Amino acid sequence: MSLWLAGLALLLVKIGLVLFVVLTGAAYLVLAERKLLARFQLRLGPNRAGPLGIWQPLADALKLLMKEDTVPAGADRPLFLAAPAMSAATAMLIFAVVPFGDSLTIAGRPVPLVVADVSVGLLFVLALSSIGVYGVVLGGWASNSSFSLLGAIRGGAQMISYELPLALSLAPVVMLAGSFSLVDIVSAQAGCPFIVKQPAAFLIFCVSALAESKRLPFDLPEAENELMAGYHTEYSGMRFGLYFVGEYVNMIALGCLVAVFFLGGWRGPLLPPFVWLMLKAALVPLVLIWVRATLPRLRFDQLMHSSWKVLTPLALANILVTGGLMAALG
Amino acid sequence: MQTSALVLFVIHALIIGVGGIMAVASRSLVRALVGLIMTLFGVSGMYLLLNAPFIALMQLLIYVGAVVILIFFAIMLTKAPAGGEEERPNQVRTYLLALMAGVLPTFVIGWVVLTDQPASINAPLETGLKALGQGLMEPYFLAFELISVVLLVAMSAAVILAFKRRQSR
Amino acid sequence: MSDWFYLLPQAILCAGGLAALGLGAVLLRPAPGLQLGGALLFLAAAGAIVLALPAAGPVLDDMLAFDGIVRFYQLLILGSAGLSLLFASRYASLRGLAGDELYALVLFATLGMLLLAGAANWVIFVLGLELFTLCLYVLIALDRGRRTSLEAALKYFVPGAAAAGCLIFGVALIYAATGSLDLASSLASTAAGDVASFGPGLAGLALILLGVGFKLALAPFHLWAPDVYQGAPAPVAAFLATGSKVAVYAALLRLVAALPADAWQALAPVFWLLSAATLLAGSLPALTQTRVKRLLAYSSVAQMGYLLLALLAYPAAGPAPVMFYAAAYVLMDLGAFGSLGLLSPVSGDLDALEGFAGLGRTRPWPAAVLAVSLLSLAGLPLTMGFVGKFVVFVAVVRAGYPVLAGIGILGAVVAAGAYLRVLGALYFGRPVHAGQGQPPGPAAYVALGLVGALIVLLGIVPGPLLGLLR
Repeated sequence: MSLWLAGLALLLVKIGLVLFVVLTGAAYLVLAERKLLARFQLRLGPNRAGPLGIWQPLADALKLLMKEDTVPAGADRPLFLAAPAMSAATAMLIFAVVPFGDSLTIAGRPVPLVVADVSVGLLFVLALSSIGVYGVVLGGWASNSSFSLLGAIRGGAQMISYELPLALSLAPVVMLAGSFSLVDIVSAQAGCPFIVKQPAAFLIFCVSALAESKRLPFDLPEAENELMAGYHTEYSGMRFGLYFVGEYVNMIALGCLVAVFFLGGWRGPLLPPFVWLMLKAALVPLVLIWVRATLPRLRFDQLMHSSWKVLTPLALANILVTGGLMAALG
Repeated sequence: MQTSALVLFVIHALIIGVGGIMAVASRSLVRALVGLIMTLFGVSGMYLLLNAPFIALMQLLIYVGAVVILIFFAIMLTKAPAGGEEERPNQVRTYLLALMAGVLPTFVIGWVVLTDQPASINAPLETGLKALGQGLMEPYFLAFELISVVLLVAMSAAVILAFKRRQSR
Repeated sequence: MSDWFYLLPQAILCAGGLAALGLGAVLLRPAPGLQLGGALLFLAAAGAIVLALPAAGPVLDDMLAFDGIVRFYQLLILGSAGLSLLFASRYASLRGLAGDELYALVLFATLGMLLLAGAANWVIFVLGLELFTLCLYVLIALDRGRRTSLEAALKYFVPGAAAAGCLIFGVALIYAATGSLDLASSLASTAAGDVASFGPGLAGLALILLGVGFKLALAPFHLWAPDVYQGAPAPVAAFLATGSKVAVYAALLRLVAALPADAWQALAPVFWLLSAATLLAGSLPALTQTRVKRLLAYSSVAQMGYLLLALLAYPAAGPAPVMFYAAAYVLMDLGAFGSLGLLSPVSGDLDALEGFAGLGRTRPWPAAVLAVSLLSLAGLPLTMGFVGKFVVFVAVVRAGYPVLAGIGILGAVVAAGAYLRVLGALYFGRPVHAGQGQPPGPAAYVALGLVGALIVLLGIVPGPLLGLLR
């Protein structure tokens, strides 16, 4: 019984730690984005709240919490209230299966440094990202506004279109690792990270992940100069904040996934595993910010074209080639 | 273990049942769809209880993540107004018939299952992904390929029915 | 001989379907002759291989069965598909329906039917059934400009989906009860004195019977049939009425053959009731029906009842009656629906009785085949229908179901009256429209000749075929 309780406590501690790190990371990612964007545009960025603006995220959060939470007339109230949570929750749940280190030994028992080593962890991640679509479409639908509805339709179409190359690009990773578990995938990269063996899969995954994150150049669902703010036009206060948090947590999650699937996860010399994972995971958000400052928005037909006619066939071909090579080389 | 399994079973059964009722009884199509999603989640939980995590997540990935979203699209793009025939209150007769259609099979199957309990395995064993893949590729190879033919036909059927006929030039 | 050879007919049909679709994509408007010829070639090749393959036990990891009965049914299905296409090609091109999809879907549907006829595993059983049903949904709606065609497709689709659900649930119950998806061994262990698997197994069988009953339009699951047959284009109705039913009967026959004695004893009363209900539900409404397509639909329901009678007698009398009647049924319904399609004007299929007035004189050949088919459906001597009914009734009486035979004969007499009204209109009515309909074209003449000749020939000399089936 005490063992059971200890297990539960350990689980809660792990969840608490992971969520704390992720949420703090997301908050400071917002700051980092504002700072970097400002630099890209020869501005200074937020620098009033504290030295270098480090209290800015707290101030933002406080502002969002104190704003009035409005529900538009004619909205589908329960769905309207629930939708932002779906967006944020699915993004945060991804961290349940991300391993952040090898197993520790505490009191003679191995403690794996992952919240849950699910045997089909990769599918768990994909399922979460496909459920994340509901945050967008339900929120957009429930708002009872044309901008929101258009944003929701675009968002849904974009996300399910890129779901396919995203999943297909991971098939060679599974083939090489021989497992769906994220822990096993990381340990399969002990020799060499999969980015070396699977550069094509890496590129497809990154582009698809960029589209899944709904950021420039794939930000059609919230294109501010045509759709106000797209699917979350009608949201205010902390419900808008949840969408916001979801987006930034999702960016970090994508960074972690790229690190786990292609960059060898927490593996690396000298530095502790956790730091390595953070460093690798920070790459993707930084690139995403950079891309946002650089590229213009795609047209809708280009968006669909690149998914269905370029990325998906490429991912399929990649699977075939990988399979052929694996069969040929034994 | 036995009790917790039973409790989880009841919870999932409730989710499935409530979702099903919501899917049928809701006035708004989107609410009905949310009910359907709930049901699918419940079924996925049942698969987890049966120790089949792969099937459970595939259920989420395919049904919740793709199929229902596509239905959602159809609803959003047509913006079908609530109303029409289903808006009118049903007659008592309709409810009675529906009740009969539901109760009769439940009764028969429940009776059969309660009197002759099928010899099932007590603790479900997880089928490894490798075994699953080999099953699909070896004995069930024909079925596996056949499903691709069925899907091809379904896809071309959708195109044939939905697109405008090629004009003869 | 490798097991893979037994997959050849199916593979050829699949290749044919893909080729038809591909041809439509490459040449934007392929010549109808090319499409028809190609499709017939693929069907013929599959047929030749079915003929040439030696009978064997279950092959391909016990997925497919291939014995004499399966071979006969598969040939029947291929023949039905070929004749339907012959009837359909000019009918469709006159109405602008002859795209690549017609040929591709018929080939894919035939593939599904062959698989169902040879299924030795529940998975193949369900997939084959669903494959051809899916094709038929679209084929029925082929004439999308017509509301009745769409309505028919919808009326087939919605209950069909529910029936498929029942069927799959039934398979799941059987699997839960016996732990096997193999058709023969799962059925054998439903009643091997094992109380635990008997009940759920029977419940599963009942659900499967429900699903199958819908596909076969057995009463009380036959209510869709008149609307669907009426709305579907006539050659599609011919294919729907013949190929799909025969395939399901082939599977049902193997199911009955695999049932252990005590399970059969539990199911026989169900079959009894089903066939009696189907016979009555098919025959009685025909009497007041003035729309010929609906009349033919009811008659097809009644014919399902006769086939079910023959199936009921199968454990006692062997497969010959049910097989012979299946062949007769295919020819009769192909002839009836096919020639109805040929007689119809482009503006819409003939339906009302008045439309047929005097066609016996203005359009002698199609009308003659229609007449022969109707006579055969009515069971008049010198036609295949008579021999078939005779063989079935003898078998049923021998198997100990005299009451059912009585109901069958009653139904036949009642329905004969309805057919005679159509015959009367054909030959004794005054023509209302002068130049109705288009010339059928050579392909349809081949089909007409084949169907008419076979009905009469096998009606006069049934001996060789019956001998072969025994």
